[in-house]
Amino acid sequence: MRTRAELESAISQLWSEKLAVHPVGLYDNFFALGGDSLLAADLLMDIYERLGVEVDAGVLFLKPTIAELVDDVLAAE
Amino acid sequence: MRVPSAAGPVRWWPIPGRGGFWAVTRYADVAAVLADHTRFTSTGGVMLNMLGRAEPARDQQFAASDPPRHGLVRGPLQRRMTARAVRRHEDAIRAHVRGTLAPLADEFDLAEVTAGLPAAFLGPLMGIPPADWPALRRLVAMSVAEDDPDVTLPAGPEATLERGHRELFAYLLGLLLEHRRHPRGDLVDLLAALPLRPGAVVANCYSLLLGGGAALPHVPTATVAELLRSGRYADWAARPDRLGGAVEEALRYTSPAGHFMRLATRDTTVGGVPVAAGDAVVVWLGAANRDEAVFTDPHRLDPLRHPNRHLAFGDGRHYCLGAAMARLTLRVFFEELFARYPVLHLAGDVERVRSAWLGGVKRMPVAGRPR
Repeated sequence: MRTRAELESAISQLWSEKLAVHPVGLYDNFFALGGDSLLAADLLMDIYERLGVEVDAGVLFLKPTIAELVDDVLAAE
Repeated sequence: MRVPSAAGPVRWWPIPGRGGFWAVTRYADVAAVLADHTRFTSTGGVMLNMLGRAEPARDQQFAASDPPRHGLVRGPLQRRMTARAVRRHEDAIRAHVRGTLAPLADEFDLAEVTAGLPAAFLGPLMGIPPADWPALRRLVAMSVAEDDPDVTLPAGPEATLERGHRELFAYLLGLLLEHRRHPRGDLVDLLAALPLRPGAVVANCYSLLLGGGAALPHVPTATVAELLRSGRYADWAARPDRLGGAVEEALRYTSPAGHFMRLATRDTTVGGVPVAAGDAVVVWLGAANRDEAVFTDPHRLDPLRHPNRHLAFGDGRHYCLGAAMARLTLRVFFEELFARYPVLHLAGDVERVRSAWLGGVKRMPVAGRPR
């Protein structure tokens, strides 16, 4: 099980790669930073495959911040 | 500087803040635009709600691609969607339709019944459980009829469109993950096996879902509305042998998919009118399907109309992928409806959908005694 800080850092790194934006704030909105639905789907699959963490797609598409994603992952664990 | 003209078959419609588009309504012009992907590209989005925005799915989703890229996704899907390939689903579709009609009381909302039709084939084709369809159907409506008061969110049509789209994407992404764990050999598995990024797989699933779920229910509803208005329902119901031609005529007459957009790739002309490179060109299928130059007495719903080369499924490379499935589903639905209800009456007001894309009926109370 990972700590909140580890998850935040790992997810924000994947997020930066997708959007070519650095740094990404915990409360930045994925779509406001230039993300689109296709990139969001790619990101979710990356998180799944590279971190072994399954993020709820509804959270990513409707509450698209790193803080919300990490909350969701920790709640699921 | 373009001059907006109030008349003429090809005219410029300005839309404040988003430029505008050329509205094309003649059959010959519509067919010409749809046939020529080198002059009129799909990569800028194909619905008016994408006007003036970048299409994130360009070159990745079959609907938003031109040949040759278009064929990479469309080709494999097409082989699963021929008339021959979809025929094996007929029994399942008929069972679904019977299951929908059987519990109805003597009075019911026909629009509510037809709204459930896509569930009959979305299960076999995409692995979507029928129980998911009522929620999905609302999201589909938000994505194609964002102006309709039944679905518009308090935050407005734009927010409705975005919310519907995002929720559908989230659902389809979950569906893709589910297919990865438990492959079913359906179209989602087929797309997942193509050399596409995950976002592109989901975007293509989105096309399949909207293509299958949005327009089809409105063909039988709007057709029956006209049959009841003109007092010819019983005639149609008594002649199931005419259904082959009747389904084509129902498609022509109702044309629920109202328009498709293309962007001009170069300075050109449409119907003799100059169109500049980058201009949006929107073809109106319903108008083309009522073009007097092609269809005699075009406003009459005539099951014996022949020939009937309508454009309800579009034309050219983007001709509806699901056309064979739609024809099969419509034929089965009409067969079952007519067999069960030889007579039907209107039992309330017919309410139409409010949308720039979708033409159809969203409420239509009817009464009839099942046979």
